[in-house]
Amino acid sequence: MLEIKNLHAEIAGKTIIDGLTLTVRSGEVAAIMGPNGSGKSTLSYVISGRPGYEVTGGEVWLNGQNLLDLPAHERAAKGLFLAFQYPLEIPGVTTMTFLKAALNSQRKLRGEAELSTPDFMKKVRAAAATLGVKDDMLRRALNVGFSGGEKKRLEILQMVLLEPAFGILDETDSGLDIDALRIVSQGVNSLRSKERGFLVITHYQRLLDHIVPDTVHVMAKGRIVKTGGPELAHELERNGYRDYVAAAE
Amino acid sequence: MTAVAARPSVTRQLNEAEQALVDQFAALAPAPMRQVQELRETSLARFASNGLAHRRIEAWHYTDLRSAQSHTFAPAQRPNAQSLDQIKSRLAALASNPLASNPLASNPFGSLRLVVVDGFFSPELSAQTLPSGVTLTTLSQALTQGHPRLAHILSGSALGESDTMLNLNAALCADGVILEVAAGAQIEPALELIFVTSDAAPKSVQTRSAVFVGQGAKIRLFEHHLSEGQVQSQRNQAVLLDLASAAHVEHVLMCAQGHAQSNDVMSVLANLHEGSELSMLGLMQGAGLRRRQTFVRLNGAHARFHARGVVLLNRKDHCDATFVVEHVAPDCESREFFNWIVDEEATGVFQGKVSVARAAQKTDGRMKSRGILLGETAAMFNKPELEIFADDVACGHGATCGELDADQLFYAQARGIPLPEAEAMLLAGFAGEIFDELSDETLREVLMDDVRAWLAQRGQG
Repeated sequence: MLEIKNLHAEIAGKTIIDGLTLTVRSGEVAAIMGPNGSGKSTLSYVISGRPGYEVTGGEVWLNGQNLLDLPAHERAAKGLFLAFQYPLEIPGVTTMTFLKAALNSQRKLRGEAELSTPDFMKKVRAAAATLGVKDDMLRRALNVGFSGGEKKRLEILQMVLLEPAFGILDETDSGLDIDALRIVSQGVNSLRSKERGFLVITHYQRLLDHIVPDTVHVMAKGRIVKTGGPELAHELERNGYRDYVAAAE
Repeated sequence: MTAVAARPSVTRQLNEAEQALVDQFAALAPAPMRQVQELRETSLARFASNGLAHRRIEAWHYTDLRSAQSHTFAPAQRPNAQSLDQIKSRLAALASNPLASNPLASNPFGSLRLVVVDGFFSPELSAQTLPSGVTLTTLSQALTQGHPRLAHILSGSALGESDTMLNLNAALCADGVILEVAAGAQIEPALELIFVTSDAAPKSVQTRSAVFVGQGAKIRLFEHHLSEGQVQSQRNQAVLLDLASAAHVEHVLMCAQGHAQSNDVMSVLANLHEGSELSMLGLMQGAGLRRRQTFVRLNGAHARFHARGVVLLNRKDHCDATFVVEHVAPDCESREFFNWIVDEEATGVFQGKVSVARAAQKTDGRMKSRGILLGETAAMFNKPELEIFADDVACGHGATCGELDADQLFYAQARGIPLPEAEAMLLAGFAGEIFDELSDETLREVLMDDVRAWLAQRGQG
């Protein structure tokens, strides 16, 4: 369960998250929708511990653990996963090397044995097959020269491999064609379980046709201004955010 | 009518360190052959007019050797039996070090080692037999008994003629290795030149080596400069590479960290004839002051020169990689790609000067230097230069310098990788890009092991 309580955060003295409270239960898929500049991506970065954001108030708990006390890599080891809106290219580091370093580093932090190379390869190949990630991509430098769709598929591959307790998808639909959107969504849906929660950040209702949320939250001016069921996404698609933004002023 | 005496041209007063070098020349036995002696005297006179390289010489602007060398050590002596025993045990110690990825230890390449100790070729530590098609002479033999190529070797193929350190080297070089590879010879094991200094007193070392590769011949040439240990030195060494037409040389430089107070100038003089190919790959660490200067002339059509290097610097080390590439023939290709990791208070210098003569149409030249600065006091100077007189060429250069990318670091951390490991991974990736195209997996792994060892030691510091 992810619990965000009265969170305040700023960048360079500018308030971006302004008293945000949100609970996502285990097994729940919550969608956050909102206009540009409402603080959606900032929220994902603050939860995952990106440097440069100052939390000025509030708490973020994941399954009883206060995340804000931990550096980013320990939050990951506690089961938090952020699928980046813009996955980074890492020249000179093959995808395989990166995945193995990530997986084994998390296992080590949790006091688990590291996976042997053959076991690791088996796990990666199985995950890659379901997401249509070719062997060639695994041997290339991470995300270098990958298309937008390939990068997003690789984000989901990492999530499948790392089996997090909680996944945040930051505009995973941006830059995806319809086929890629379907593959990515299937990957996410395959991970849905009653132990695992998701926060799906998106501009558009399109993604939510594929990853059907349990709850939909509207974010404006750094806080949640409306909460509803999946039908709320359809309403936003028709009427836009204008009324909610105006109400948040 | 009053005659006004012309003022003699003012020659610079030599400082103590420079005078000591001139005195070293006076103490040398003159070369038996007049032509050779004259060559050495001319070289010394040129050195004396400029002195040690200093920042007012444009090519040495960022590497001020004169300031770094206020005193000159006595010239190194031929190592005695005790020194050789020490070197032997150092080589053995390397071999017993489980972390040693140093090819000296396990020698995974089955290379033929030619060891130069304190500037003198050591037959005792070197391969006893060489493959057919390879002839070995030493420079000291050539100086006393003559050698058909000696004048060529001392004049350095007319490359870097104005360089004051090369002039000094031509005047004072006492020994070195002269290898001649017969036309058409395809030499399978790598030929490995190992330069090592003994623990005897601080010393100045001047060597000149030469490798002549005959028409269509093919060799791999490794050049290793081992760590000096506790004793500082002033080294000024040159290697001449002469590639006949269609000759093919794969050169690998591995240069361990030198003493924090040592000065180390390494010059390479490469002359490439038609259709020949010289590919150089380097992994270098710093020293108090270190400069690797490579002079290349692409003398015949369709010659190719490729240099790729990784430089890892820490402490207050200074390391300079300078290329002077002359395209004088058409349809040639040159590449200089360097990645630098500069930590603590170290300074890196990359200079690349590519000149394209009018006749060198269709020249394809590219140069790139990329630096990552890890410390706030780390520094990097990049100075690429192009001088183009032909009108149909493709030449370009680029230089970047910055810190590790904070977004990339966060990305790795968000996947569970702690910051020090994330840094090491990104830095290894950055260095590894230079070795990506290597087809020899073993060599690639040896080089990457050294990079990782350097990164691991950084992590502990």
